[in-house]
Amino acid sequence: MFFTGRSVLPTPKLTSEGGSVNRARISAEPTFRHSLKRQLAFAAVSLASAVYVTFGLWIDPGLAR
Amino acid sequence: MTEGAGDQVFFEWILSYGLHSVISGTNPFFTQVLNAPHGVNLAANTSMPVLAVVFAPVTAFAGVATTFATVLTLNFCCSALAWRAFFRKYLAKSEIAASIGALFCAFAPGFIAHANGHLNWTAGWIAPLFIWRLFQLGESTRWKRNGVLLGLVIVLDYSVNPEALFFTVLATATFLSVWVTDLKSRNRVWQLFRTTLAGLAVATTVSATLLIYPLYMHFRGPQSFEGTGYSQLTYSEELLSYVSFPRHSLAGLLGLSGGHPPNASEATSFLGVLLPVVIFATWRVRRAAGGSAVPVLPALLITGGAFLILSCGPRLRFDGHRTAIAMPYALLARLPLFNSALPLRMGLVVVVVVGALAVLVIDRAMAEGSPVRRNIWALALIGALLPLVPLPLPTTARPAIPRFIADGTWQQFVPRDGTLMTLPLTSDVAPDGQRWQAFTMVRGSRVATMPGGYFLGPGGENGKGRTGAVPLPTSALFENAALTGVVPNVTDSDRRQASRDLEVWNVRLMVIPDELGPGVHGRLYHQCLVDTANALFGPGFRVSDVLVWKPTIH
Repeated sequence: MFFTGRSVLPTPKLTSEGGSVNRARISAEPTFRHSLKRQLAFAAVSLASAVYVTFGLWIDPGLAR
Repeated sequence: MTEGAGDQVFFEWILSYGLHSVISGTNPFFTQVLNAPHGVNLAANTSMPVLAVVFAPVTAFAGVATTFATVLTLNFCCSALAWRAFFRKYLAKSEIAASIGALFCAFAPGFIAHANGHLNWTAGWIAPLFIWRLFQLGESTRWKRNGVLLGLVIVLDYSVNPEALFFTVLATATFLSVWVTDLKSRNRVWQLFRTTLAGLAVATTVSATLLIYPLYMHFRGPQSFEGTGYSQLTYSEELLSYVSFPRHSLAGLLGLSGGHPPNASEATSFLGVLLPVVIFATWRVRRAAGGSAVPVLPALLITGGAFLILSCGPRLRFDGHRTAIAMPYALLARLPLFNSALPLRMGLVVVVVVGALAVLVIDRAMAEGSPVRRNIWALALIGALLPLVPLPLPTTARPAIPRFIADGTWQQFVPRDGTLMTLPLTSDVAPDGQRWQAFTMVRGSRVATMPGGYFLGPGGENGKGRTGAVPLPTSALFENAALTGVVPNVTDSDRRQASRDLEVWNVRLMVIPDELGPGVHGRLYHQCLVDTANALFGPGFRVSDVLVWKPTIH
């Protein structure tokens, strides 16, 4: 990683020489769809947590005034 | 909000004023509808103009209380998302590590405490957004594009919370100055330095161009002020607070909370046993990795340590008392920007550093530890984090806006050049009047101009700023009556003074609603206010659901 000094996650890309795809790396990497699912799940958890914390404000009778 | 009623009203007013300035084209950085006749310098207050304008449609259609709840909720959510993306990009391979760290950084006790009214301080996304764009300068040769983007991020961050941006810049500079010394390659350092400097020049140009007017208004505009209206000696963090449990948490529910924060919104650190657990785990990781294998650790530890010491303020506080022991912040307290900051809020940098260290520890444990070791670390971290799980923010119902204000009846009594005065004068102690004014701004009709208000302005001790309007004898008389429940012995001298004060404020009508909102420092005595007003101005009369008094000076 950038700061930890460890290797970064494999990035699928065409090499400049020969134009071949590094298939071994791609197979080790989570698919875009899989990653998106996890991100959406985290977004849902974050939103649910935020609503839980601010719940009182959403049911405040003064809200509609 | 039970524990930040005044701040909630202030930020609702700010959001309402955003809509008002969009509709009426008034200056977003200065207004005279509050604190009449002097006005309020909004650039020097936490006025969040960008968010207020972005959410103006929500304010217009759903009311300002909905906007307040929406912004607060989205701030928490976006903070978690921003920190997760940041940790994934720069610190952790493990999604679990990044997610746990992100949730902690967004919902840490310090940010939950600030959620009691401090809308701007819940915008935890400010820091990862800025640092991400800053790091991009060193990672790419596209310094012009990245410089422009960083400049825009600076403008956004400044508009939401300049104090948080200041702390972020300081913390990032501290971190990078340590991290760079660990880099082995001089060429790498030079390359980073060159592209970062070029990008920073572009970012500075962009942000300075866009912020030149707000900055001018902040420092040289009408009603600007030096320093802060709050005492840095009081708003300093106690060392013990770092290992105390927060009140609004599972630990607090079990009666384990401690510490002495200046108020509920400023309980900034309160990490419980997480701090020692993370420090111990970090030491283990560093030892296991042979030190140099994790170059980011010294930079994080030094940054966290420096901000922990700075957060203690000019004098060490211990067990709720201020000691005579001078702290390093005393050397900085008179410097520009430092003289306006509240030291204990620097503890939020420590909170984030602890979150980053936790990410590193979890990431390492998941990647390299044996299953047994992994389970031990997992149990230790769960044990440290679980007590910090927040409880929902405490709230109480507020009285409705009086019909007298809501249906516009007040306009029959107050000419356009006059002001409406609430009794007691609207202030941080009794913010109801400011809430009514916010309502009139959202309604889009005539705005009820008022003296007083809850804001930061000039007139404090030693030429510094202060909270609210400089009190006149009559406002002090009513505030004391409302807070103490004792009707003052009103004399002719008081009546003459009141006449002069009302003339200064250009008051055309004074109002006491049937139902007073809760005072920020406790109950407000309704009957006592009515008796004081009757003694001072003669008997008032009822209109709709309020009692009113018309001054005889006009």
